[in-house]
Amino acid sequence: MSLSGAFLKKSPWVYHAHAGGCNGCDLEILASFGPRYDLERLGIKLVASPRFADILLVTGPVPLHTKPFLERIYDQTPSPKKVVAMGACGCSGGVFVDDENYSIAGPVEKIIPVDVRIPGCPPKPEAIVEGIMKAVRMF
Amino acid sequence: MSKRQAALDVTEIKADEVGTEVSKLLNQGARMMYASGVDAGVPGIRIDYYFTFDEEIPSRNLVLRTYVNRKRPIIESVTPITTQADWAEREMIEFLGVQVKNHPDPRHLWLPLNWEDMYSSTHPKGDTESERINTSPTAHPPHDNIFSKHLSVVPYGPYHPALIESNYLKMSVEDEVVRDADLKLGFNHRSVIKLMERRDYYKDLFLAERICGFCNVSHSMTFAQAVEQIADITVPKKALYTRTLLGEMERMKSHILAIGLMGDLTGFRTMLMHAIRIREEILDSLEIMSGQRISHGIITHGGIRNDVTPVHIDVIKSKLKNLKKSVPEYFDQLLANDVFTGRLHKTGVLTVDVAKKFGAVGPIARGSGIRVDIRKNSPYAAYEDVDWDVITENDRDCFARVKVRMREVLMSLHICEQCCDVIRSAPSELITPVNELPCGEGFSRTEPPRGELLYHVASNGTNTPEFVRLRVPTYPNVRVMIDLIKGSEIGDVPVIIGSVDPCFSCADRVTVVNQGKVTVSGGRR
Ligand code: SF4
Repeated sequence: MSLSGAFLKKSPWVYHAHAGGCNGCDLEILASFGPRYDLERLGIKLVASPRFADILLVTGPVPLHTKPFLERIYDQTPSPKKVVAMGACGCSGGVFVDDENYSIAGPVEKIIPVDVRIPGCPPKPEAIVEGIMKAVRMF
Repeated sequence: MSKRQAALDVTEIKADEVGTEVSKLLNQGARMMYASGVDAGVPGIRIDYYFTFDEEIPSRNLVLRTYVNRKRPIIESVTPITTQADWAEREMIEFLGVQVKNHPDPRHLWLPLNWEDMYSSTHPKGDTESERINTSPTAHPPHDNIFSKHLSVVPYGPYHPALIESNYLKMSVEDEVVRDADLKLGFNHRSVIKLMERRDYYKDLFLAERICGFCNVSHSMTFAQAVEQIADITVPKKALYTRTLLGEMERMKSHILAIGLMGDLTGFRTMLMHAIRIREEILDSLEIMSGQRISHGIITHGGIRNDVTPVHIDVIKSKLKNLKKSVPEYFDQLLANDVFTGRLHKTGVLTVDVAKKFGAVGPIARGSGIRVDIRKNSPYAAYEDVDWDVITENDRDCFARVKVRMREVLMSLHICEQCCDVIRSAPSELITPVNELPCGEGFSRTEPPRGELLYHVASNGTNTPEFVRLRVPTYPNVRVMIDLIKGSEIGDVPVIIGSVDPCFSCADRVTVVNQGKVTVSGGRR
């Protein structure tokens, strides 16, 4: 796998999976692909399907309803792949952690293996850029 | 100093009178905002129907309240009388186990497709350990409760690039025309309301903020206003103006992104990038004020937590000056583009009758010429003291809705400038502390970017609320969206969705589970 990994370093494609959560993290992802932070100048591209993604960027605490879909997305992503869990929700469940919360299956690491975590609620675009670069260096 | 919003006017009726009372109110010109149930224990399950009178200014808020037996919670449906109650009643069926008789479409909307496996697993009675939710792979494949017909079916979502959020839209298509459409929600269901009942009022503010990243100021502001109404306190002037400033900045950033997304959906990626670039200025000023770009945590019960100093105001004013130049420039670029305008003209026409029938709110209603804006109808924060006006357009199509948003951004800029001037010279008092919270109910409405948001909070004298009920603007507007999609061409669907600008994080926040029939206790840990 090391050969293809070396190629991926140049231009990894990111698929963003919204697994519950508010929209805060998703807005910051949009901002980090926007003109000011511009992840695309590092060769990183947001793609529309997990089938040609290299990095999964998962936000949110994963509600029960989303869980099977998240598993399916993980299976659909070809290896080698890296998973980045983003936000307080993605890392630990964030504000939604509670004994009585009946509708959360997360955090993400309970469902799929996670390589990089980006804490913050929501993390700033600088942190997102750094987190994705960390994942890229892992290939 | 602005007056407080009108409190709730509760009328108790018998369960079998609901139909007649509801139609009486509707004939008087009321709009049904929401209906929700609460398990009140001994008196039974309490069902509230919320009404408002849009024509009156300031509008009256009215609640019809009725109790049904907990053992046999049966109530007659009012959906045949008004479509505005449709989803609210489906929510009651789903989360509270109320049997709504004669509901035309009593299917599940929010719970997972395989909820039976997850929630009603076979466990011995009274064994609380095994009552926990079963998150292991399901025994049966999830059954699709969305309709199917012998036409081509086009699924849209749950992860579709055009919709950032997850929801599942399914359309039956004949040739190019959508014959039927249905929606499955619940992908963001996080049981926020249930958590609110368990945490104290100050923690709830942060929870309210995390319902939606687009309109977090409105959520915390509305919740704080409802609590302030129970505590009967007056908020200092500086806090009121700061809240107005925050609310308007939020409206600008949300509207600009919505317009940018419209550009993206019609094939102009550049327009989306321009929108993101312009938004950054607003996010910068918000960050200066509160220290956070998206969720600010600045609003609290009785006022605000951080001071907004004259230095902040200077920076914000310079940002506003930049915006005053870049925003009209951006709008002119869009409006000068024939492809953009031509694509939106006469697409997704929403007549006044349909809008009223579904109880549309926000820019969607105003794009059809209906003058409904909570900032005017029941003023809150400082909206009574600043100079502004409701914006309406009469063309009723997607383009009208985009134009409403554009003009509202310019109006918001105007309001922000006035707020800045007042905040600079206002007395430095920031907060009126809430010392005691008596038993009672508070009700408050605000106007987030997408329409009308309402919070109903009841206090029982302890440090946690008795219950919290909220209704978000996307709730009625998505019903309108489905109606617009039916009968339109499939190529128009993305633009229609974009022009309605739904926010499913908001819509999926709810649950109404107490100790009712569908008991879902246990936890995930
Ligand atoms: S981490 Fe915070 S901002 Fe991100 S989805 Fe969760 S609640 Fe929203």
